[in-house]
Amino acid sequence: MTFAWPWPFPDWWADNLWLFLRALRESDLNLALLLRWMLQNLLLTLGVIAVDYAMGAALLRLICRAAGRSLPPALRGAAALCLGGGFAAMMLLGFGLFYRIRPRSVLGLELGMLAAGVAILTLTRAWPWAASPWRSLRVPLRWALVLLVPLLLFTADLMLPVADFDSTSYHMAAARAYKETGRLGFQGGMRFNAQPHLGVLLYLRHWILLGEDTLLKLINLEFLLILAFGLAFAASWIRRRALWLAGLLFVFTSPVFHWVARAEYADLVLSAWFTTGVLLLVHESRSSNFASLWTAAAALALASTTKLQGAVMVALACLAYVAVTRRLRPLTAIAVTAVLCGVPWWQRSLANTGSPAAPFFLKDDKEGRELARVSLRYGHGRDPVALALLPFRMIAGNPNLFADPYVFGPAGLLLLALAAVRRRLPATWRLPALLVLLYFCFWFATGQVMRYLASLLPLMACLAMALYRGRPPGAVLALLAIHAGLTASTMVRLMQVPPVTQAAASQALAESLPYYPAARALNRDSGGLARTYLLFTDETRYHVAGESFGDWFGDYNYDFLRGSASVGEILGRLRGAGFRYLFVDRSRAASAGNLFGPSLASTGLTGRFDPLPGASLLYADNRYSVFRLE
Amino acid sequence: MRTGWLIPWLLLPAGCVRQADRAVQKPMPHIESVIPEKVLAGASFNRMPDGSEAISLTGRNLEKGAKVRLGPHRLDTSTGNGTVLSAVVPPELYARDSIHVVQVELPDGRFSNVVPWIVLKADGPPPRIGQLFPPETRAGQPFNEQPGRRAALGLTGENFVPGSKIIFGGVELETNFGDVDRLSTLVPSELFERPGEVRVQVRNPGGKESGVAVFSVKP
Repeated sequence: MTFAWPWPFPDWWADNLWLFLRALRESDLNLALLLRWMLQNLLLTLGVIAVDYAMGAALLRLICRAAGRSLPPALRGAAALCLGGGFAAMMLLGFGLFYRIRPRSVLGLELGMLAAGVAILTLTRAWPWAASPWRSLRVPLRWALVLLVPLLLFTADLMLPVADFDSTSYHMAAARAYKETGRLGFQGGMRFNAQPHLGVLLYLRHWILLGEDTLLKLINLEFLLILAFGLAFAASWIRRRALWLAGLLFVFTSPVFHWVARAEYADLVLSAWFTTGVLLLVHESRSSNFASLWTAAAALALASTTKLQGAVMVALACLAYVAVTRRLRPLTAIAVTAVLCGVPWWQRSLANTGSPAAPFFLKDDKEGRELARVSLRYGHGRDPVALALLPFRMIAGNPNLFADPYVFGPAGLLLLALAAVRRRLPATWRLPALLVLLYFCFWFATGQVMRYLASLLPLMACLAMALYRGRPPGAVLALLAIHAGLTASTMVRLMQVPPVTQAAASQALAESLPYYPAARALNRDSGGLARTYLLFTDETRYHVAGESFGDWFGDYNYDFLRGSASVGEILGRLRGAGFRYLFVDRSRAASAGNLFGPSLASTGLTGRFDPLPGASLLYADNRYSVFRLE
Repeated sequence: MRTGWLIPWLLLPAGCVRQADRAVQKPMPHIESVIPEKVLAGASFNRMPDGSEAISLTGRNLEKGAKVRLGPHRLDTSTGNGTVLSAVVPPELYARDSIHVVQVELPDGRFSNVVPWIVLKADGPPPRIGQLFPPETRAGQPFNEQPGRRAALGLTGENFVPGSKIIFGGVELETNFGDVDRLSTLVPSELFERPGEVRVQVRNPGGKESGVAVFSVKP
């Protein structure tokens, strides 16, 4: 058993810091150019966030006027960003259904949102109302200075190329396909493409607006701002405004949350929108405010369309709401908005797969069952002993068993400790507490993927604040800041500085992704004009130009080749389906003997120097081969 | 046409990082030589401590992260220092006679010039000696004088391979493989200190020998 993170000090800290400093000392690094590049794109990102905020604040103003009530300032900030981003994503969804995802239309959308937002806020004289939430994020100067360097390094990490496994397999592979075609076409060979993925459209928008895929992760700053506003609201609700920074640092003691905040996955946007929705529900449950209810409904509806997990979380939130408030009627608002937001996705899934929630409820439920089977493999089991050992394993165990590269960290344990030593949880916070409990049970019984639990970490931070309730002593804040700051500063995922030049971006990928040189050789030969079969190289999809198939799920999955008696039959099937290139991970192919049978063990599918008749070798290294099918 | 990159310019016209800044690239790598240039199929040519065989490339801009490509094969490559790269050649790539294309691939995806790397047939025709350089000398008089007043003999011919040996007066000498048509060796002075005719032959690693050429030592 490997201990990836000997708590309390992650073992990557020293190594990563050293490698990062060495990269900074490289002779060809142009620091002035890098700082200009970072500043330019940070400003552009802040511009995009400002547009979302203006539009969201305008929508929220209209909701509040209709309801005749307002919201607490910090909650307004979270809700405004949530509504603005959600509005932009829904508009892009509409564009995508009508072949209009183009730079011109995206820029037009931004300008339109800005104009509408400014006009509504001006007409309703709401500028002071819209500006006041930002005061809730004030940080004492000394803490701002302390956190500046980690924040800068965190921002730098957001400017690295698309390299994470799920991104290159499907999240950003889908975004690339939508960008190239201008439409939200169903990609049958891409994993989970039938599921809702509204967050992907916001990454795509940022990619189009800033012009580079290395910059699309910068929109994560918007989601983090939403969470910061949410925590500020929780702190003010507890009547300890200064506690919000401790709450934010508490969240960032979690390495897996750090990673999620630096990746272009659906988990961060889900966390931001869902946390906002639940906090609005908490507010509504205590105030019976219609503005809170309808804004909560919108936020939860948006969260339910980020991924299927979001729909489950929203359902559990509704359950917790009913259990705590004993009221059913308000759920109508959530149901109506969730249906409005979800219908385009369900219809798209139904039209292309025959099920509104593929890969589940299909006529042939093979993929759904396979997905459930794979999910149940994650974690350490579902028995009481596994439950008892879970905190230890999530802090010091091997995170790969939880399907993630980083551990959960001490946040959960700190929460348990607080719950053990402090007074009772105030009634206000019973709803999120019950929700966390319900979701934990669901998570424990199904797929124990660590980042799925990390989506609830901001809500756990709210609960920790509610349990603590006191004024945070400087020592506690300092400890949290050191922990979160060090993790932020040294979790340099790709050991690279942000690439500014095009050559540096290609170089960063070649040094970070073992398959990238092979994909580059393939692209050079195919020109992106031919169909490629990815045999156990599904994670390369984003970096392989043109149309590609091959995965455990979807059209032309590995079952398509199962039962082939010879390599000639495999190549014949591929040629017959229009494939002109074959990209193989030989080590994974060699271990998939049950798929191909022993007779294929000495072919180019598994051996670097073994022949693959009827195919010419374009590229081979220690692990990957690329063939052109003749 | 890709127009997405225009948007930053529209939104932030001043202080932008220009496309020209972003197009900056490192200089192109250039291979000057591959060492050894030719090897014998299946035979060791530059054994590493771990038992693998390696080629070395000399040239310009062979920077850190660059990889040596042998045809479609990407080799395990040592970290470059700008002028030299070494790469391990898997046995399958020199198991049979063949001509490989050697290139250096930069981490950013660009390639160097191309040079050939030749694997010669292990069991080819017997060697043949054409001419000796020099064909004669005076007794005790060093020829093609090298440092230390040592004599050097060159010979041209055909079908020489790495590992070919020159046999001078019945003595097998350490031989430098110049090419398939060129060999050279240092000749110890005791082999030409007395007048007479010395028999010169070439023996290839497989045991095949050339005909006899005569080297004259005059009084």
